[in-house]
Amino acid sequence: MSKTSPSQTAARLLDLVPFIYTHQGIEISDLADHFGISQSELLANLNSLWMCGESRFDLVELDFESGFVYIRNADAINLVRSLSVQEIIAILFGLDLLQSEIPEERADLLQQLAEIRDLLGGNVQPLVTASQPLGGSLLRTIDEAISRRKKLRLIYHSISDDLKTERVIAPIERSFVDGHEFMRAFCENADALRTFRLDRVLSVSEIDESANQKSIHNSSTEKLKVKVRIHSDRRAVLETLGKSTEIGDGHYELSIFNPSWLIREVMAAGGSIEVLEPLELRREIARQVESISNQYR
Amino acid sequence: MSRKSERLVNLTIALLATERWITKSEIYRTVDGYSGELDAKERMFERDKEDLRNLGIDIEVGTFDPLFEDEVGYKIRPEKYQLHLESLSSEQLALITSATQAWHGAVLNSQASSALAKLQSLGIKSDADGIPHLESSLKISDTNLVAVIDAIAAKQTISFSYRSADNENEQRALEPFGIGTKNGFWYLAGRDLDKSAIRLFRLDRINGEIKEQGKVNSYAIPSDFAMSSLLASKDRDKKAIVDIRIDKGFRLRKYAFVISTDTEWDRCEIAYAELGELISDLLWHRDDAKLLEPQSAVEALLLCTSEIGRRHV
Repeated sequence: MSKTSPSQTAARLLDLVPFIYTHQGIEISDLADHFGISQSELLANLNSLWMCGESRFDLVELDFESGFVYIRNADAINLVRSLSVQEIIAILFGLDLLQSEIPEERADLLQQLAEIRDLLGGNVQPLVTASQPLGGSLLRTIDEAISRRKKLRLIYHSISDDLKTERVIAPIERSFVDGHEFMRAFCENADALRTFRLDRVLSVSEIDESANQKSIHNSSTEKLKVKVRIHSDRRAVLETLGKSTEIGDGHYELSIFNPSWLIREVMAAGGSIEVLEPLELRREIARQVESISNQYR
Repeated sequence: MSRKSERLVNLTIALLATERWITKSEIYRTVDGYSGELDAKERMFERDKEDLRNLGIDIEVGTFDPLFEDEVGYKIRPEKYQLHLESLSSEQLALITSATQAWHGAVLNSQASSALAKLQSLGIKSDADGIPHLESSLKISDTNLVAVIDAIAAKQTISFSYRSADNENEQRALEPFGIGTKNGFWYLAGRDLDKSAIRLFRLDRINGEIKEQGKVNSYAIPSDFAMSSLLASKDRDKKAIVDIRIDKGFRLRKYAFVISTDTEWDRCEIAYAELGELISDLLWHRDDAKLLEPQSAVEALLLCTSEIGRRHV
């Protein structure tokens, strides 16, 4: 947590005033939660505010020794400050996400969101846009299954084989890495732990079966060491390949789980990636290119 | 340090409470916290004014008598200081409350909570009945996002080191206009000062910290700027005919419809935006997809396969 500057503290003091006025008698812990600060920080703020006023003979009156906060004699600053552009931006992003989760039949709420945007946004609105790549209901189903320890029936697009697969899984946790949502789960079909990328989930539904944690024999999948040379589009290729080590002059080394995934990426990169090692993989690529080309003869 | 924040509050109180202009000497005399030699007080006051303005508090400067401009006065107009949202309904407040949860644990959490605290200070009862709880959230811990929105708010030029398409670090200078997400990535848009054109940047391709440079309010955001149209997907206005092996090509089929089908293949029409993307998608599917039309696209695809082949002889 970065240190609060005096002007940020001043802003908080000013914002505390109208909040306490409309919440006279609020508990110190509640007030701290509302402002997202610790109780000790709040107490320091209240002690500062106590020292403020029109003059040293006309100070803000605060009462918080009982653990409940009351304010008087701060009429001049009992005004809610205008929202900053940053605050409006924060709200607008939240509204965009919320909108993507509201079902179409709640047209009333969508109308309300539009009104809120106009009320707050005005000139800020065009500057921001958020799109939720996944439907809110997918996340809700997964989170409920995790918390209630239920199993899920999952239809998943398995990328390396380009196959639609149906599995029964016991979800363990969700995570977010490099811009993508993932779910870690025990897959009954594979009888092992698996990680699923949520944007490849085609459908998910809960099964009324408890997810008893099986003994998980960690099938240690062998990793394959690969050497590649990147001829062009280096940034795009590196972002696709993920973690890799440069061994000099456009040559990179990486470890992969799934050769067929790499073959597909080499094809899609249209000549930007050259696989140097292992030689078998290199030959397999040549063979597959041949088989694609043959379709056109 | 605490004395400085108290002085800022005292100054705000004094400037808000007054209806007439008050002079610097009155401020030094009545506002608690100004001490020392006159020079020191002057410097303090200049910095305090700047700090309050950076908080968005508008301090007006005026004179008592237009004929004698020697002494200026200051005040803050309550109607400008104050948030005007009297028409916000209980339901709308509940929706905003739900929306601000998006930042829980992410970099704009303090901006979202302070915004919410302000709205809750209006004394409107929140009515959460039937308001959906937000399921997803904006998971971003990159503090450069804060630097970007601060710069957008201040209209201040920024500079940063950016990973270019050939993976080299380039120094870029930008007047930031907008920010948005697409497919899970954060994008920043603005006028690139070297290219003198609007450009998009992906936030995770920025190395190190974004630095602000130059003065605030140094540019205006064009009135027709819209982040959503910059991030909109390109129109799939071109058509290709492709054979896709039955039960394969799941991703391709999203923008395809089947014209006819035989025992092994579905003949499909695919709508695409860019030829390069189409070819890349088709090659990803290896021999499960075969491009038939247009002929020019087939030739471009075969150039790619011969290139891959040549690299792997």
